[in-house]
Amino acid sequence: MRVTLGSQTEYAKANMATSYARLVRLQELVATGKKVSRPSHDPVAANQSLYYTQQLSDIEQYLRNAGIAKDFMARTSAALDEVYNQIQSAITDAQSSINATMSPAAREGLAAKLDALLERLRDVADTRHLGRYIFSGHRTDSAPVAREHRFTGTGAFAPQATGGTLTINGVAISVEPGDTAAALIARINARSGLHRVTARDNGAGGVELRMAHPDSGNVIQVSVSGGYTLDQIFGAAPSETVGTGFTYGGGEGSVRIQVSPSTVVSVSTTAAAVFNLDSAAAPGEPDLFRVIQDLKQAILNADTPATELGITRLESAAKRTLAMRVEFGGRIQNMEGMVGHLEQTRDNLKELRSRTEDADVAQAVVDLKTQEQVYQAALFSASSVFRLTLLDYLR
Amino acid sequence: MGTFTSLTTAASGMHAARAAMEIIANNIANANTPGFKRQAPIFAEGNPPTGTSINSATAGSFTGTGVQLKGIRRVQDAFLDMRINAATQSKAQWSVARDLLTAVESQFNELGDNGLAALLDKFWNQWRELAANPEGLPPRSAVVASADILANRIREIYANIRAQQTQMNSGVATRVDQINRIARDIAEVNEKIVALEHGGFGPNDLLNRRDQLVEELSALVNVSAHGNSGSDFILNIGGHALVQGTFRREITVEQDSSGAWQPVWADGMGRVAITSGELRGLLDIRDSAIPRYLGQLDTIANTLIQQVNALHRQGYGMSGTTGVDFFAPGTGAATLRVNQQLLDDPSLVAASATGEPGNTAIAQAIADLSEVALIGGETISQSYRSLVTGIGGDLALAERSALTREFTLQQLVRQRESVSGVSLDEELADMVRYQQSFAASARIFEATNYILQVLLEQVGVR
Repeated sequence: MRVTLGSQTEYAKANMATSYARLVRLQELVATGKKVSRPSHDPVAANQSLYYTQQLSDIEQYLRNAGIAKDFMARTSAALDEVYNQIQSAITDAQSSINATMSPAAREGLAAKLDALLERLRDVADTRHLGRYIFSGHRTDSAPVAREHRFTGTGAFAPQATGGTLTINGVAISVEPGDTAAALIARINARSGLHRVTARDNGAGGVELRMAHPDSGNVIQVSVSGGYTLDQIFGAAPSETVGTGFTYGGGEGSVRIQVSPSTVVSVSTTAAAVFNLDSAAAPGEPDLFRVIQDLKQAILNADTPATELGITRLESAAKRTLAMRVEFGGRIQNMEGMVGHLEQTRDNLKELRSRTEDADVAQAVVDLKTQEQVYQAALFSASSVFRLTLLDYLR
Repeated sequence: MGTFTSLTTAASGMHAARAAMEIIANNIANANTPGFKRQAPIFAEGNPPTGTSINSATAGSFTGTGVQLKGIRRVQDAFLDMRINAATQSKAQWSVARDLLTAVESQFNELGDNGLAALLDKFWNQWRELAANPEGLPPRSAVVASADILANRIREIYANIRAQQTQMNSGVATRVDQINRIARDIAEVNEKIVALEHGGFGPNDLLNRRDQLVEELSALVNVSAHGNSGSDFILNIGGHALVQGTFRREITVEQDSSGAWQPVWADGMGRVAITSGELRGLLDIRDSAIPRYLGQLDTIANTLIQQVNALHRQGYGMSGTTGVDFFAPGTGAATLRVNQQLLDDPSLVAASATGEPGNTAIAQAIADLSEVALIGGETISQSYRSLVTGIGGDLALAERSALTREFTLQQLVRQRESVSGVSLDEELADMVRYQQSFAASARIFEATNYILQVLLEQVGVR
């Protein structure tokens, strides 16, 4: 092959350019520490790296959520401890009162103690974690222990020819001509925005509204316009009454927190379950507050059988509380296991991502050095070859 | 043949050597001129004598009559030129594709911490956070903020790529102008060649110039050249003649239905059939790659709008509002934005399916969308990753293709250099050779002159 000045120059230039480009790439590798800094460097590795990044970001979130869940359960667990201790204390008091020689003054003292204990239990029921009632199910904004408000009259629903509008706590519901009580009850219960008020039959064919509310003032405001009157809907002389006992003022369900792609844990229980409100936990038995109120009366009356019944009920309540306490302990332990697992997965993913996108810096530095030598050699050889010319030998 | 023949023979030798020296001088002077092909003299023996006189010194046979310069040829391999033109076309096509795709890729800036993939992760995780903490305003504000950043980023990427696509129109127009200008130059060169050529030898410098113009044109578009002389030279693009002898045809641009500028023949022969060169690279990226990327972004945006809105409308905000869209209704990535109502009042963000503040079914369901294969068997994040790595793959292919074609082209250019390039050492060696040849002819001249002097003296003119 004939070698000319031009081909020699082009060749040397091309070699230097390639060599220099390699040098720059290695320099980039060392400077950034990344094998893949643009998707086009290695599309497959870039895809993997993006995937690992997403997984890592998800796991960080799950770890945060697990922290929230753990705190929530720890709070619940502490509250359950307190309930258990209060029940035990009430049992001890009650047992000490089964003593024929106890003075009325001492009984008064015990009754006052039980009153304080009841207040303490109501405080525990109202426990809030970061502003959320922990025993209120989904209704984390309402206190779980409430009085039941009812609004109804006596008598049946009377269908009218002209429709009207029923307004309950500011929410309007249409009452159709020729409606039935059942249809209207269904419509009220299906109406959104009224989530604390439920409707049912008042036992005489009329409509009854119920609402659990911690206050005892009027809380169900009802008005009607159009073809119906309040009497025609609720029965004669409708009015709001407040129950004397306690009822569950929270909502259905429990607080649920996602801690992995497939695991959503339930981190709360309801006051209905803890305090047996509305006999939710032990059918046929009164709630814990009622038990304590009855017990107080029994102690004041020195009524031994009633006191003994109260003690039995407290013991079964203590047993239920302890079971819940154990269950929560288990859940917290599971959650710690889950956090450990998430942390391990996170470390694995970090290592995988690093293996995918991080350069072997030691190797890169060695390569860089080698490439530097190669480049220098290319420059040197080019400069020495270009110096050769026949001109130097012609005279 | 007369006595003075040796004088003319020697003179022809000196003349030839001088002509060769001129050619060498020209070669050396043009050693670095682009497009220059080295020239070489074509020598032939002199014509035999026509007279009948016979030289007594060579009784019975003819002596030669010296040397004559028949012509000056360009040392070249026409087939190599054709291959170089073809290689230039495909190298230019991939280089342009590489440059354009690099600009597109840089829009995504994915492997940093602020890539769209990271923003998408953040968006889903803010919903997870809201599902764990559903009552307050802060997690809602965080959801809205993350969605707003995400939507802005998608719109921005979309708009920037769209702007790049529009800009490519002027890239097409500029290259069409260049083609027309070069075609005009070639036609002009042809005109001069026609005027000057004779006896099969054209003016070498004009032919070099034309070869170089054709090579320049090859970088832009698929041209093929046929014929050598001025008048029968044809330059084709996709079967239509761009230049034929001194005649040439214009190319212009026309908007197609999508508003893209397409090169067409000005005399109404329709679209120019472009199969390689920079123009092909431009058209490929503008009309095929970018619409594909934008389409994928649109699908991602539409899926986000539809799926998130469908769930969000069923949920309840903090004050019991329902039926509110999360993203403003629209189609396409260009319309993706968070519903203004939510930006103004984040308490409208719905987490609850029932209105109870502790219910998180909606927030959880929206967060779960991140795990659902909504786009052709892929989750939204996967689909986005496919888009980014698809662009990376296209760019990697363009880079590799440009590189291998660059190597091929370099190889061919080196081969041409080896055939047509000027080697200074070679020219210097030739120079010495012709120098000595001149000196030898001069010696002959001197010797003959001496012989004639001796003869004249002997004859006694004195």
